[in-house]
This record gives sequence, structure tokens and C-alpha cells, in this order.
Amino acid sequence: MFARVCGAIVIAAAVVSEVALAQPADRTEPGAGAPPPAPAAPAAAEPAPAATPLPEPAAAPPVEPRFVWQPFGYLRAQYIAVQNDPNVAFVGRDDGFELQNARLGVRGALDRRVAFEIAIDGAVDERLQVNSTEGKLRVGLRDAFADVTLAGRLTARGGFFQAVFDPEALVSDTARELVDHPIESRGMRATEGYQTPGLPPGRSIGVALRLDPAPQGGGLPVGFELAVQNGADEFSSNNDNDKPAISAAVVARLPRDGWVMAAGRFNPRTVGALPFRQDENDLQASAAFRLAAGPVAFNGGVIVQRTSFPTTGGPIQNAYGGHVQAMLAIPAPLPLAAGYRFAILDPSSLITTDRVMEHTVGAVLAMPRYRMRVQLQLTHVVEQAARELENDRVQLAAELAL
Amino acid sequence: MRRACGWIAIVALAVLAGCGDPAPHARAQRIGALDEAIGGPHAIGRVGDFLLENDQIRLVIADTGVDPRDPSKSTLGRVNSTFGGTLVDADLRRPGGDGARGNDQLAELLPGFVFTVINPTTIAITHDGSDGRAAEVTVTGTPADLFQEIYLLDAGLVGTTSLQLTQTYRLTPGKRYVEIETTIKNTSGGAHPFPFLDPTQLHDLGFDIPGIENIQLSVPMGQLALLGGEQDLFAPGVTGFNVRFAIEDSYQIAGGFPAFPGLVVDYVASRGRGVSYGLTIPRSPDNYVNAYAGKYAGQAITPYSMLVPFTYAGVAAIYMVRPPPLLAPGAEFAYTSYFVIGKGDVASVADAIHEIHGAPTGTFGGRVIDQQTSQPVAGANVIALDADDHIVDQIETDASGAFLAHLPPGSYRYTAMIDDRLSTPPAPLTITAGGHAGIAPIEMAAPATLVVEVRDELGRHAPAKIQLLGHFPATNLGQNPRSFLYSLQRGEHQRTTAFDGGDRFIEGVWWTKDGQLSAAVRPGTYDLIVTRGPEYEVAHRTVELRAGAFTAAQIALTRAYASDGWVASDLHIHAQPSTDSDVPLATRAASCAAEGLEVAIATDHNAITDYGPAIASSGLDPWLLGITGMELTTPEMGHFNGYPLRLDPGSTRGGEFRWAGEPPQRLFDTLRGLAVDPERAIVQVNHPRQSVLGYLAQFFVDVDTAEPYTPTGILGVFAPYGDEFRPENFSLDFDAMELVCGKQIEDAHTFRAPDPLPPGPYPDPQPVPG
Repeated sequence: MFARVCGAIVIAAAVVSEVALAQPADRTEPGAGAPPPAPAAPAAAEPAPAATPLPEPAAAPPVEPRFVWQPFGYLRAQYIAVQNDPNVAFVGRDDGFELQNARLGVRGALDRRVAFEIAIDGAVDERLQVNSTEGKLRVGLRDAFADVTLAGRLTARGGFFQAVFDPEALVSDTARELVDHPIESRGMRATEGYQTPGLPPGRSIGVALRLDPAPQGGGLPVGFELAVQNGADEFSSNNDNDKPAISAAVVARLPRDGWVMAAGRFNPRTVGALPFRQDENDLQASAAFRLAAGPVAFNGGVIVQRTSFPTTGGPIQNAYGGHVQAMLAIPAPLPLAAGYRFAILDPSSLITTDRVMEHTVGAVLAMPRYRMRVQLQLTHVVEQAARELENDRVQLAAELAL
Repeated sequence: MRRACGWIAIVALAVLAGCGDPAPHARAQRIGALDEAIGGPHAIGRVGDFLLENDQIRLVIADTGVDPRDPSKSTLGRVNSTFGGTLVDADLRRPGGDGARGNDQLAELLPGFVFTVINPTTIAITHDGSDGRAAEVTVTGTPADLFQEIYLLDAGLVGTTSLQLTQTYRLTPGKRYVEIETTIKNTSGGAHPFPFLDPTQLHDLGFDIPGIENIQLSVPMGQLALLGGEQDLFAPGVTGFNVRFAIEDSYQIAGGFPAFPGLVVDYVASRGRGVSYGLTIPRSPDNYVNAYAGKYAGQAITPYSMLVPFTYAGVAAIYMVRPPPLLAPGAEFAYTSYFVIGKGDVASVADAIHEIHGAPTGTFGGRVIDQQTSQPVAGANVIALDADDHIVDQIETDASGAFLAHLPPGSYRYTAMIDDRLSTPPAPLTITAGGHAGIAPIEMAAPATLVVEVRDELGRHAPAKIQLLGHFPATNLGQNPRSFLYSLQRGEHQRTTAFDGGDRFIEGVWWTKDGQLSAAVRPGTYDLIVTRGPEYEVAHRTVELRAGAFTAAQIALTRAYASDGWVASDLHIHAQPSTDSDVPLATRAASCAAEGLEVAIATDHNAITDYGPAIASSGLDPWLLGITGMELTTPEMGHFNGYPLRLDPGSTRGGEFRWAGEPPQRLFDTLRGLAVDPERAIVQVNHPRQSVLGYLAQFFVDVDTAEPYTPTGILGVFAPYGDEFRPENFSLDFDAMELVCGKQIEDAHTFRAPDPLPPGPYPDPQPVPG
């Protein structure tokens, strides 16, 4: 394993140095010399990628068309090497290249009044069963919603979207500093450990009332979202019962692309096959921040979940997860940053051996001219003694943004 | 802001939309098209039958089977018993509407007045449910014998004349059970006693039964349940899933007549794949068991007790009430029973039974997960035990590992069980009325995973049979394996032990279509045995299977001897189309190929079956040839194979035929008439000497003269009386006779084949697969 980690570092170093040598610093590019910034807008809508130059502002066209639209997307691939656990055969035996995602979308607006966004993920990893070592790539709907401006920054949203709850969703994939989301958000993937879902809810069909926070200096930098969604499993075409999931979130914009947020969600779910179904209620809360202090960017978040079982009267199940992260911008010809993240996930208080912690170090290098980023990440995974695995991993990822 | 309020209102409307759920409904109708029927592995409902359904369940009651305009077109025997008017299909309502494929596994349910059944004259929809209330179908008829051989019991106890028998199936909206009201009406001008005759009258009628004058009998009435081969029968208490042996045990403590011996149960339920069934009764002053409570000492008796005197081949007699000693002219006697449909476990049946009884309950629910991965364990059995360790309930976990049941208040213990894992130690549980006893997830130890790849002498992935043999401790030698190796009470599968009295037992067996296996099994050290019928040597190795770990083995089969010119075949095979089998066709095709067969002849009970599609879809064409056939099955005249037959895909039984009341020659002619080529069809007599089910036995064919004779004495008393059984109707117009039957496996397991084989009758190379 050590040799593989070293090999991956060498490969990463070679790639980074080659790219750096090939591209002299271009101080005119936005973001050059700085670590990939946090999103400008603390909302699920995707901000401009850190390494992607913003479209040149048009030279005041004489007449703005009624309908404007813009494609967006990115391609992310990684090489991942996971230790082969000596006891658990499905952990670590599939080192190799993976397509993390291939997203393509379009967003547009009509008369600055009605906006929409439709995006698809072209590399959803589908497993036939939990912990399966064999996955298939398939195409899945990512977002499909429309926003109608009600008044000022107040909008109504309807469609298939992710309510503001997961702090990680506030950071664009193309602005995320490390290869992976923290474990409380993404969960443990198959073959990297004992597969476990993350805590945030997935996307769902519903409606929302939203107030985007104003940009710094442009008014009250506080926004909110009240959402009513089906709350069924992600990709479900309908609700799982007669009851909607309700969520509320508050987001405040801070200087230097910082932000702080808090959210809550109540989702009464129903599981099982008709007519033998059972009700389970999820009450969730999340809080997160992102701050910049000099060359260091800090972020952290926590998600807690309380699940009750009214049908069975089973004991309350609590779950929590969170992370803290610090990234240091390193002076270099190209935007470069390195940092550390600690993350923890305890999926169930009813199971005393399922807590997982991750210590992650990583670096990210942006190449704005080519809309590319390269990321390297090493993760030391710590399970509880009863489920201890040898499953540390190293990941080298490359990203191309449209 | 007003616009924002408008949007909020729209949101509120959207949330509230659909909140007004319509009331549940029930309806009765005749089936007008086959896609209105239920469907499923044992579904035989067809156009003209009666469909009774509500928002929870669907049932089919067969038509009379008699065409009043042309009796020769009657379909007596289309259902499993002789007459129509019985409940033949039952299933949960499946999401997806009428077009969804059903999962009927019920063979048949019919009223049993001892062994008298209804020969229906009319079947009518007495309430169609359009008024929002219960829907009803009523069957009316006259008494008839289920079995001719025990006509004496029917005639002596029930009386087969001057009675009108009625059975009404009443389905209430929203319920998962159908209420069955059974009525006996005395249509004669005089009183009708029960028993109908006293022993001295039997003697006067010419029945010479030694000691009959000392026998006092009762008249049990109830339902005869053919729940089907896929259903494991269950009764709460000391019995659990061990019904067969519990009945045998009950005979040892029987109190004697007039009470019939048998097992006393509080209710009957079953377990099956995706659907289960149950029977119960309300409190009644006519309760049979309570009427003879003193005769059932040693067995638990409740106000709902029923008597199960026997179960055989999936048939269980369930007696509920005793009629009054005398039924006045024009008077009626009625009793009620409830037939419940569950989701595949006992608990979903028991929940409805508790509701029927109005018993207070509390819920017991939770989740079963894998100790190693926290993933749900689907299909696990959570067994609730009472203070005496008797099984109270069996709850199956769903795909998310969740389970839920209703239990009467009390103290229990529970354990989780599944074939491929070690059971969890029993844990305490307390149920209070109206309370919710939810528990933390039950963590089951991980199974081991066995991966096997088998190749034949040509390096092909050949069909193969893979077995894991375990060894139990020497201290258990000589003990009944039921006492230490597996628990039939708790629903564990039988782990067959060696015939030689050794310590080996079969932990698992798999018939693979391509020699490739990946299976979860209980951790342990086993002998891995791989075979492919008698033409290959037995491959053996020892494997140690650890929890949560994979163990792989590659096995090369070695041919034992050449069999050129010979064809390996089995001429008597059952699969799921038989009411007493739970083996899907694809599994049966794989098992045939894995056992080294080259030709498999499908011979399901009264169902023409073609293995061809299963063979093709399993990729077994190079190995196995299927021949379409059937075992024409009569209750009392014998079982007769016919092959190759034509398959009629438009018939729910693969073809139209009649067996009831037919003499042997007509049965043979029927089989030949169904054949692809009547001139070359094979008619085969099966298990000819088996009592009741054997052709030669039923015609009393003399072992010395090979001639049938008319029995006398006690044999004559208990002999079929129909004209079709007259000795002169005995026919030898068949082509083959079974000499060895798989049921007597102890007679067959020491087979020997000459080495080398003599020249075979077929050309070489063989014109057969393999």
C-alpha cells in the first residue's frame, strides 16, 4: 500500500510540475494565485468554478434578448487506490480509474423573470446491491427546476431540486478543494469500506420559496429557503406517502466568499411494500460555515439526525456527522492550495460500532487557462475496533469544467 | 408581497391535494377475461369462475364445472378435488392493478363435513358490493364424497341425502380475510341426526366391521385446506412449523372416541414466498374441541381451538365445530370460519386473526441488520417465543430488514433466524396492550460466502450439483437430529442426515446450471461435494468457511465411465405446476441437468408442463432435452404419466381433460388424445402398489394372478364404490410401469451401474444433448 501511495504522489507531482512548467503564470486570469474560492452565491445553483474564467461581460448589448441560456457542466475522473483489507473481500480490490461525474446542464431565463435549470449526471455509479464490487455507470437526472421571481430577490422554485440543507451542496463540485465530499455528506462508498449513506437528504420533487442573500455591499446579505418536497428516495418519481418533507434554511453571506448557514428538515417517511408499510420520521438539522483568514480558508459543518419509528415504537435513532477543514493557499505560478480535513460519521446511535472517522490531507492545483484542476488526496480511515478495516486510500483526480 | 402569498397558497394547495382518500370497496363478479383472474404459480381461475376482491385481497371461487346443457363437457376435476365451487385462488392485491401478475399459491379450500364435500348445483353472486358493503358469493349444493373409499364415514356420520349444503364467501371492504359461512339444512321431512347412523344400523346395512358396536363417533365439520406445496404449515404453541410430527405426537395422548384424535391448534397459518394463508374461527358454543375438551388433555385449548387430525401432501383437515345431535326438518346449522391472506409470514396472518378475535395486542417491531456491515437482512425470521419457549409468531423482515407484528400482551423472548446465518441468542420482550415494543436493531453475525466453479472433463462450465456436508458432534450420534441439528418448530429447514448413521448432514445443496455458485452459508468446516449424476466421479474437498469471508474452490469433474448409446432420463418429475411442489421450472431444469439427466420428462399433477422455455432461458439446451408431459392424477384410481403431450397455452392447466368418474381405459385414452402422436405416446402407471394412489392397489390386483378382484370384508368396506372401479374396467392398455419411485429414496441411494455399460440401444453418437 505504501508503495502505491508513493507512486500516486509521484504521478501527481509529475503531472503538477508538467502542467506548471507548461503554463506560465497569467496574472490577468481571475483567481490566479489564489486557492479555489468558495461559491459566490450560497445556493444550490452552481457558481462559477474557481479555476474557470468567468464569461467576459458583454459590451452592453443594445437589446437584451428575452430568452437567454447558458450550458454548463464538467468532467471529473480519478484514479483511486484503496488498501486491500485482509478480511473483507469487498474492500479495496478494485483500484483503478473512475469517472466521478460527467455533468451537463443548461440554465436559462426569460425576461429576467422566469429561470430554469436542467442538468444530468452522466456517470452515476449504480450498484446492484450494497457493498457490491461491481458498479455500472448510468445517466441520472440531477436538477430540473424552474424559478419564478416574485419580488426582488424572492423567488419561487418548483421541480426536482435539492433543498438547502447539506452544507456541501453550497460548494460547487468545481470549487471543492478535496477530491471527496466529507464523509457525513457523501457516506462511505462501496469498496472503500462498509457502505453507508450520508446524512443529507437527496434531491426530491417539490416547491420552495427562496430569498437569495444579497451580494456583499448590495443589501441584506441574508437569505432563506422554505421548501416542501416529496421527501422520498432520490430519483423517486413520486412521494412515498401522503406527507411532504418540509425544510427551512437560513444563509448569510460573509466577506471574502465566506458564509454561514443553518437548516432544519422534517421528513415523515414510509417504508415497506403495500399494505405492510411502516412510518419513520427524520428530524434533521445542519449548520456550517466558511471563513477566510489571510491565506487560510476554514470550513466546517455538522449534521444531526433524529429518526423516530412511530409504527413500531422503536427506540429513537440518532445520527451525526461533521467535519472541519483548513486549506492554505500556497504561493505558486498557478492557483495551488493544500490542507487537512477531519470528518466523522456515526450513522446510528443504536449500533455501537459503526462510527467512522477520516483524516484527509490533500492539495488542489488549478489551471484556469484550460479550465482544469488536479487534486490529490490521502485519507486515513478509522473505524471502531469491532469493524476495523485496513482501507486507507489515495485519490488523484482531474477535472475539466465547461 | 401579494404575489408571494399567492405562491404560498398554491404550495399549500399542492400539499393538501389528494388528502381525501376514498373508502375501501369490495366486489364480486364473474371472470370475463383471463387477465381479470389472479395469476401466480398455482392459479387455476379462468373465465366463468367467480372473482371476489376488495382493496386488500383477491379470491377466485371455481365454477361448478358442469355444463347443464351438455354434461359431457363438464370439467369435473378441473380443480384439485372432484367438484367445483371451491376457493381455488387467493392472493394479496398486488400494486399495479388487475394486469399485475399475481402470486396465488393456494391449491384449494373447501368445506369438509368429515369428508363430505359440496357437489354444487348453483353458484351465485349474492351481493356484488356495489352498495359499499361486503361482497358475497354463495355456493349451494348437495353432499358428495371427497373420497369414495371412506364413503362409510360420510354416510354413517353425515348422511348423504336430504341435506342442502351452502357455503357463502363474504368479503368486507378493507379486510385481509374472507368470512366463510357454511350452512347445513335438513331438507327432509324428518329429523336428521348426527351421527346419521348408529353402529348397529351399519351392521344391518351389511357392513361387517368387527367391534363397531363399541365405537361412538362424533361428526367434526370444518374446512379442508390444500394450502399448496409452497406453504409451510404453522400452528402457535408447541407445534410451530412442526405440524407433521406434532400431529403424530398428539396421537400418543389422544383421549379416544367419540373425539377424533389429532392436534389441537388455536389457529392455522402458513409461510410462503410472498403470500401466506391462515384459518381461524370465532367463539362458538358448537366448538368441536371444546365440546370434547376432556379428550384432548395435554393440549392447550382456547375458545378458538380447532382440530387437525392429519396433514398429507399439503392437505390438512381442519375441523372446527360439531353439529347439534338432531337437525329438525327444515332446520339449519351454520358455522363461520375466516380465511386470511398474509404477505408470506405467519405474523401478517396472525395480525388479522387477532383482529378477528378482538384480542388486545401491542406491536413488536424493529429491524434486522448485518453485524459487520449494518446492512439490512431481508427475509430473516424473527421468532417470538413464550415463557415455555413455544413459538408464538414468525415475522419475516422486508427488503429494508424491518419487521412488525402484533402480539397479545405478555412476556416473550425473540430470536432472529435465517438459513445462512447463526441465530441470535433469545432476548426478552414485553408486550402491553396498545403499546409499541420497538427494539434496537437485531444484529446478526455475518454469513460466509462460498464461491465454486466447476468444469467438466472437457473444460466446460458444466451443470453440477454442489453440496456442503457438515459433521455434528459425536456426542449427538444416535439422537434424533430434530433435537439438536435443526428446529422444525422454529421453521428451520431439515438438515438431512446420513442413512448410515454417521455424523454427516447436508448443510446446503445447490443445483447449478453452469457449475458456478456464489452462496451465503453458515460459517463452519464442511465437506464440499460436487457431483454430476452417476456418470461422473464424486469430487470432494474440505473447506473452512469464515464469517464475512469469501472462500473459493475450483473443481474439475472426472467422467466415471462412458455411456455412449445410453440416455439418462427421469420419467417422473414434479415442479411448481404441481400443487405439492415449490420448485420453479428454471430450478427444476437446472437440477435435472446438474444430476446428469439428458432427457427430463415433465410430469406435474394434472398440469401439462413444458420445460423447454426454462431450459432455453437457462442456457441448458446443450445439456438437456425437455419432453412435455403430465401425471394424470386421480384421488383414488392412481397416477398415470403421459408423454410427449401437446401444450395448450390457453388453458390454465396446459390442456383440457377430465379424470373424475372415468374408468382407466378412458384415462389412458385421454392421455393419448392429448399426445403429440397418439400412436407413439407413452402411458405410464406410477407407484402402482401405493395404497390409495396406486392403480394396482386400488383395483386389488392380485400379486399372484395379476388379475383384479372384488374385495370383501373390511377391505370391501373401505374400497371405492364407483362403477369406474369395477374389476372389468381394469385395463392393461398402458405402456410402462414405474418400478422405483423417488419417494422411497432409501431404496435407491445404493444404486450400482455395470462398468463398462453394455452397448446402448441408441446410436452412437447420441442424438441427445450432453
